[in-house]
Amino acid sequence: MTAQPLLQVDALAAGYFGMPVVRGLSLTVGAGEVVALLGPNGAGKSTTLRAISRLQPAMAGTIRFRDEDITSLKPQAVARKGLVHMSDRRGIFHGLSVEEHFRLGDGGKSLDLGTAFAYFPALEPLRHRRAGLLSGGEQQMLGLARALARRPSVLIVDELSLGLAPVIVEQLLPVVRRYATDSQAGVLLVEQHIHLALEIGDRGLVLSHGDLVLEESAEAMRADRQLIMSSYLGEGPQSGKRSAAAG
Amino acid sequence: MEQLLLFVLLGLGPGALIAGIALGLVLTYRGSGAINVSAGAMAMFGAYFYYGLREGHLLLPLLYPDIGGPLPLPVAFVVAVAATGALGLLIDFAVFRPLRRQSPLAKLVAGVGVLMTIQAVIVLRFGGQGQSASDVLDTTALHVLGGTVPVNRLELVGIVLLAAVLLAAVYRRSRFGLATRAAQENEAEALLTGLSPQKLSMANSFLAATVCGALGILVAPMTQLDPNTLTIAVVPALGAALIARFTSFPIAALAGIGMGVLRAVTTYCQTQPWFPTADGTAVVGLTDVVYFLVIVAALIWRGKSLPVRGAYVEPRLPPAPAPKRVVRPAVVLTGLCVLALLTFPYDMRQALTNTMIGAIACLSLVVLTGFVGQMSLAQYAFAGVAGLTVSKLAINAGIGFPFGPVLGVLAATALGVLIGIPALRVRGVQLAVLTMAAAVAVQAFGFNNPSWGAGGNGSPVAAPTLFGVNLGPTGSFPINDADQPSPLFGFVCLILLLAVVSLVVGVRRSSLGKRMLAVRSNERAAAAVGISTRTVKLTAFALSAFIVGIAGVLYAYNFGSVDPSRFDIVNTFALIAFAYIGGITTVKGALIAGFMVTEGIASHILDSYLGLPTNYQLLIAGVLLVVTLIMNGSGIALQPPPKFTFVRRLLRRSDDDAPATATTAAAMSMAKVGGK
Repeated sequence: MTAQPLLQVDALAAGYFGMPVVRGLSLTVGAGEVVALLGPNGAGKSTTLRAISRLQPAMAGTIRFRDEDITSLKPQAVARKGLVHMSDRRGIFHGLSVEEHFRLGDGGKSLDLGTAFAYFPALEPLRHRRAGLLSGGEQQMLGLARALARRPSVLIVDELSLGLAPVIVEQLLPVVRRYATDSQAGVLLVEQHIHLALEIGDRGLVLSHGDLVLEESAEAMRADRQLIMSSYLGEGPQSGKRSAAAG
Repeated sequence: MEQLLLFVLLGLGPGALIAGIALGLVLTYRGSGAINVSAGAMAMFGAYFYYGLREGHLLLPLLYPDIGGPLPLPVAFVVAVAATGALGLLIDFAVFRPLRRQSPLAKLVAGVGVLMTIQAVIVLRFGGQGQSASDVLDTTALHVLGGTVPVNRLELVGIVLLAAVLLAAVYRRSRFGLATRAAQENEAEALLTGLSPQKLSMANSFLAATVCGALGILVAPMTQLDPNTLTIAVVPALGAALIARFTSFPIAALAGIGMGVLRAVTTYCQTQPWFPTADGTAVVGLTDVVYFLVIVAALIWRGKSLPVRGAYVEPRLPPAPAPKRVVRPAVVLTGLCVLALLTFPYDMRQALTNTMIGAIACLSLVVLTGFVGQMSLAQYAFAGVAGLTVSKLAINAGIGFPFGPVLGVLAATALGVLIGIPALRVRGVQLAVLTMAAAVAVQAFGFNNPSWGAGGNGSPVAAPTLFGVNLGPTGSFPINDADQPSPLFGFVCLILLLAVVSLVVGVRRSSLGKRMLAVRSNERAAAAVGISTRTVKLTAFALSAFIVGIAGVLYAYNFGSVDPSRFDIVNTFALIAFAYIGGITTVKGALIAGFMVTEGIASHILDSYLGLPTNYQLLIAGVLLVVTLIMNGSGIALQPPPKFTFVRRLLRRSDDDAPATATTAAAMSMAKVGGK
């Protein structure tokens, strides 16, 4: 897309207790681009996201964000620079009310409640309710609204669809697409709903057992289901390369 | 009636202190997830620091430099409060921050280490006796209800309630409060939001320490400025904080004041003719029993709904490997002990006896804490009950050896089970709080009672005799019995130590041991695979109290009397410290700890031959306890053996060096796997 990607990961290795789960992973996310990170359970998708947001140390490789090496920064510093990681726990706090979530700004300034409600009007009547009392869909809306209100230049999202009805997922994902296009931000999306993710995405990456097995344009992946199938099931050119589960 | 109200008004002073400490407890818990049992010690530190400034000295660890005359009251107050705040920051930075990924129990035990350290610093400077603290607040007397009440009591209550309301407002409205609440709920999510939980924790610790310090300074003139009174005020404060679910500041403050009023009401009742008496005087220590009951009630009522801190990583517990190849080291150590008992001079013989009894006491913690992950701060209370039973049975019922000691140990076991019963409803940290209250109650209500306790000069214990042979320290023995203790008593201790070691080794190797480790690592998961966590925990409590009861009986025979001060909670703190430093998860660790216990072999050598008094040893032990916990709490016993590569290279050829290291490494990794 652009000459210089917003997020550039090179030869990343990350894992737990000294065992790498992801090895030699390289990826880029450009401005205005939505990249879908796909793969079966235990492929290392969430680990990759955690390593990018520095919640977990990288065992090897570098992570560059807007031309700056962030590989050794603290997670809170990365977050304040505008790389927002919305984890599968949705980034919300059950004890805080909807409104309080937007007063809990980063860097001491409140977030723009108006923008958030513009994205998700359904949240407006719930502003004084505690987040713990919201339904799963409402919580996810709140989490996404808050993530977007922070105006990230790169947004990484872990399983937006987790535990939600497909109808709601179909509402949420286009919002992510719109944000990327409107504000020329990069989005890295981990998703189980492959077809939904590829509909809004520009490119798709498939991880399997910690290795990148496929990198294609979303269009091509949508067109050829066999491509994804073989990358998930390991029947492609990579077959038999790795049998032991790593993650 | 009017007199009762007067007592209540006077009780507001101590009540304000308890409320202040409770506020500090809530602040620390919300900021860092630690139940800081050293909050009372911080209040004590503040009060002593202020005292030092007013005397014209600066209170520092081991130093007490002159600052050229006393500071004026307001300056001294501000400086002392700031110093306590700085202490809070230091403790957060050096203790709670490195422990933030550890289990809540580790954090609580670290608080014990901090408490010991602060107390040792104060005792080294001022001794154990109290000082007369000067008044800070206005002492003008108010004439109410036909009596006089100093106006400062009411001022104090005002100050505490104001602080509570301010804190509540800050937590509700300010961005700092929101951030702390968010970080308390889930640290990882807070990080992703750009918050810094560590900075939040420091800010809360600073606030907590200043509140505790200020109240300590203000209330010390009304209670007593000594190393114990303010420190132990943390017990009712824990009760108040529990009632507030470690969350609400106003409730914590009100409950704290209520605790103070409870004490006043009990004192009032003691003056009444209907109050139960023992030996002609009103029964003492009832307040502490009431505090214990309040804590039990609060735990049962509130315990399950305490907010837990969302941790990002499951804490890793220290490994508890099953001992392998025990026969050879056991035979060698027994042989060495026999040799030592037959040859050592009397002082070292006494130290060795203390070491063996101390090792038994530490083994009780290995079972409870090392295997099951529960903590009891009442170990010496159990020991004292056992010792006291032996003494009282002999005096009042004429029951002597060997039935007295058996009944004594059984009494300790029964008490252990009794205190363990609330453990069925609560887990981990809260249980430690409960046992702390129990220890104080048993001490105040039981041991200090002149009739059924050992109040005054202690309760005498006759030497154990079997078939006319005196087995006690006063007995005679053909070899090496020029002075007491008799080597024969050493042999009795050795045999019992061997028996207890076999018991603990057997438990760890049995299926019960495996169930215990399962409960330690995850109670819910253990229950899910069909382990009765209740049975396991109660068994552990009974076993632990049984073992420490044996130690208690031996202590009683050793000293020839049961002296309440020997079974103080402060001694339990020290025991926990030594057990952790040695290695709380293994039998080997308990034996190492036995060498270090106060008046044990290492302690005696340091004290008598190297000139390091026990108070300094306790200071070092407090610091080492924290260091051990930061290093995952595995203690000396599980450290890799020193390599001495240089020496080895001199002794051996280089080619058989390599395989030797490889086997050690393999054995170590196996030991780690075995302990998981």
